[in-house]
Amino acid sequence: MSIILDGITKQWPGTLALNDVSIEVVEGKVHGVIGENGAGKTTLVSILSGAVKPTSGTLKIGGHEVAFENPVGAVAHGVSLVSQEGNLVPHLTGAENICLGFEPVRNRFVIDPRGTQQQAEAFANRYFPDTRIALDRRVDELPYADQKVIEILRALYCRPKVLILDEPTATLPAKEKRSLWELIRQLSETGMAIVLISHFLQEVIDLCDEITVLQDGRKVGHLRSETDDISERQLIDLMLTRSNGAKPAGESRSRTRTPPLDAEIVVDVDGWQGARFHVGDLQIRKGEVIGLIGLTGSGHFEFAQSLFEPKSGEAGSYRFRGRNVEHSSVRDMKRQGAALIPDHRMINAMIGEWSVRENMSMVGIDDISIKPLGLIRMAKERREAQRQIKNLNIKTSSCETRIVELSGGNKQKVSVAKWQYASEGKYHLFVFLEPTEGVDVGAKQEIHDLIVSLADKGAAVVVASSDLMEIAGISDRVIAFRNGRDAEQIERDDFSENHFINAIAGATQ
Amino acid sequence: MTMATYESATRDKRRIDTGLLVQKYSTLVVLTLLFLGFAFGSDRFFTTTNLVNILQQISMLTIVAIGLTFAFAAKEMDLSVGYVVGLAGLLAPLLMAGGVSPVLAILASLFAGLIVGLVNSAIVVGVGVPSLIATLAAGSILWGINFMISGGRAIYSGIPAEYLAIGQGRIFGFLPVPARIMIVVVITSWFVMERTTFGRYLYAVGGNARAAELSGIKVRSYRVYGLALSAFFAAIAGIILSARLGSGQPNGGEAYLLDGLAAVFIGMTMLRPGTATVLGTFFGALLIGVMNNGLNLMGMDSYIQSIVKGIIIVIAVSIVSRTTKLKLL
Repeated sequence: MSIILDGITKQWPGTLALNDVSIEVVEGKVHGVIGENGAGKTTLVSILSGAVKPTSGTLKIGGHEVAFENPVGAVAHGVSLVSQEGNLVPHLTGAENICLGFEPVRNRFVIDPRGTQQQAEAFANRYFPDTRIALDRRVDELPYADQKVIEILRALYCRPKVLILDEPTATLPAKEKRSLWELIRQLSETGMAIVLISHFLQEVIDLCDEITVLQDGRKVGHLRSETDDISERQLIDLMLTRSNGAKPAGESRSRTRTPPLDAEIVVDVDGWQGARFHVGDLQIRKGEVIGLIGLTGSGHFEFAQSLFEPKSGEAGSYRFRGRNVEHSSVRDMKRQGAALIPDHRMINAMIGEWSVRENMSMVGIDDISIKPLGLIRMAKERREAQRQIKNLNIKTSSCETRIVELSGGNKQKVSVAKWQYASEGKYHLFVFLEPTEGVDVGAKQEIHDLIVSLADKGAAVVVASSDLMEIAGISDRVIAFRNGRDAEQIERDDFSENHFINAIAGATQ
Repeated sequence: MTMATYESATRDKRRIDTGLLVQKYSTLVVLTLLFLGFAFGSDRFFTTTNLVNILQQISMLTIVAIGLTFAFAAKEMDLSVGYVVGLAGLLAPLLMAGGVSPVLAILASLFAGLIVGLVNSAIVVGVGVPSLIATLAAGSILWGINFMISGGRAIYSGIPAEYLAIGQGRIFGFLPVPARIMIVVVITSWFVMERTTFGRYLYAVGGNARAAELSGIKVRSYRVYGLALSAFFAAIAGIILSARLGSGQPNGGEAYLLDGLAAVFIGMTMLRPGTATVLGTFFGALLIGVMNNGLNLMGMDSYIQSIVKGIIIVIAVSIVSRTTKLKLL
């Protein structure tokens, strides 16, 4: 049975997550969905699995229009999801998880443990004849790969007609990956329609009959393996190209001067290594904006984060303003003048119940309070908040408005304002992660100007973003990451979307 | 995932907007209704003597509940407060019976409370045991200790008059000493929570620990402060209790746990819904005090009070969890 999404749009407050996306997943075919951070994959999965309702558009299964009230509704219509994070019950056994809700019973309502075990094992044997998993053990005691297999079995146990796999191989070792790929092929041969979300492009190319490419909530590409000769490079092009042949935003950058080459070095990295990145040699000077690019999982985000939050596992040489910062805490880094404007701002930067004023002063409130008791000068706090609101052009009815009521762009400005609050010039390094995630077009430009103005005032700025046009528009230098390595440095004269994509994909021109 | 959070946040927001006025003021409305009801129901209720009496009766409860408010602000639960009240209320009389001066005995009791709080937070913050469980266990241990040090008997003898004055005196004017202590505690705590960086950071840690951490706030320290203050305030209440009763009782403080939690929950419906605030907690304690007092005057049995109190807790928590994600573990 095929599933058709027709003109699906999902409007979140302040963000258009999906914009008129149509996808047809045919029975017996594997349909890949790819895209960078914020492209709309997660929202698409949520809609397909009934966790979220679309703002407009229709969903058809086997020719009938359906509307899922909740995930149970989706399962009832034959749509099963194997989610990225997993949703097994940790203290139940593998067998119990597989049969959850459909356990064999004795005397009408007593669960039959042995029957459950046998049924689950028979079921597992049918799909994974070569894999031995201890289905009688608690799933939280099993290796991650086994848990993933159990989760897939659990999804199959509901006898789905459509199976959604969200990054199923992200945490699997090579051997299990191969058996999962084999299974996906087999399942599609039995007539099941399969949606595969993955950021391993080669995997998608090998497995999928059709591929839909999403970017910023829009469908920007649809390829068929029968008719198109799909290459990894082609997919990266589709995922990342935003210019449509237009010039990169470099022309419209609000900065005209070039940073002095002899300015003070703020970040000095010489072999800095974490779990998912290794950066060789990198100096960042005052007044510079460094753009970090790469595919998801290539290490550029982790590296950027580690500049502000060095974790215990990270090793090597990273000197911040001349000081070795190995084993430094966030507080040390802040004291020495480093700032982070994180991604997922409502999770990492904001307190939802708090007002704009309270959120803004979270970093700098010490500076406007009377020591040693830490008495907050309330009038000053409010004045300073109002000053930031005015300077950054934050649209809010007052500084007492709750932060959740602001749009994405204005929330992001508050996130930046935190590090300017009562502390002009105090911070020497600003690290931005996905600075315009969930920000509408108008506010994007303002945030770009804001980032550049920080560098103009003498700070070193690091921006990690999956929006290459953004990177081209605001950076002085770009470092492209591949497989955790700082693979290529690109100077401003060589900025072009094409060059960036080449560097990310590792293709030589 | 982020997006889903956005949506639920805005959905919650709208729901608050419609019910906000009703919710924010429901405690005050109920309080007023209780006042009017009891004033008509009993001619002894609305008299100066009785109103002063109510303040006296709620003073220990308020102090315990304010302590809990500090823990709640940092999103920690403290189920050991009742037994800390008992411990402090026993320790001071025991020491004085042994010849220790009242001032030293009081300091020792307060110190004991603080130690309990620090041990709690070492287990919660250091080891990583959820505070609900750690403090539940601590309560059990303290209950045992209380019976051990007292031999299961009340401590009557050797308590000097200066000490008793803390609970029974009316040195200046008509207001009893416990009510004065309560007023000082409420005003100081309000000031600390609403007007100092300490309070702001404590709320930040409870509001979003990750955001607080990335803003350079000492998250672990503030969780410790929350739990330590909770036990410390319980110790203050314990001293007042034993001075008022003129004796140390091995299970004297147990009632304050449930009533204290009830006061905080009721308070969380007011002012900033979902957040424990000092003033909210005070009104919560006042509501419970007025209710207990009035039902007493009308000749209701204490088990009726217990039933009514349970119902009020359920209503208050329903209101709070309807609008915010109340997470205690």
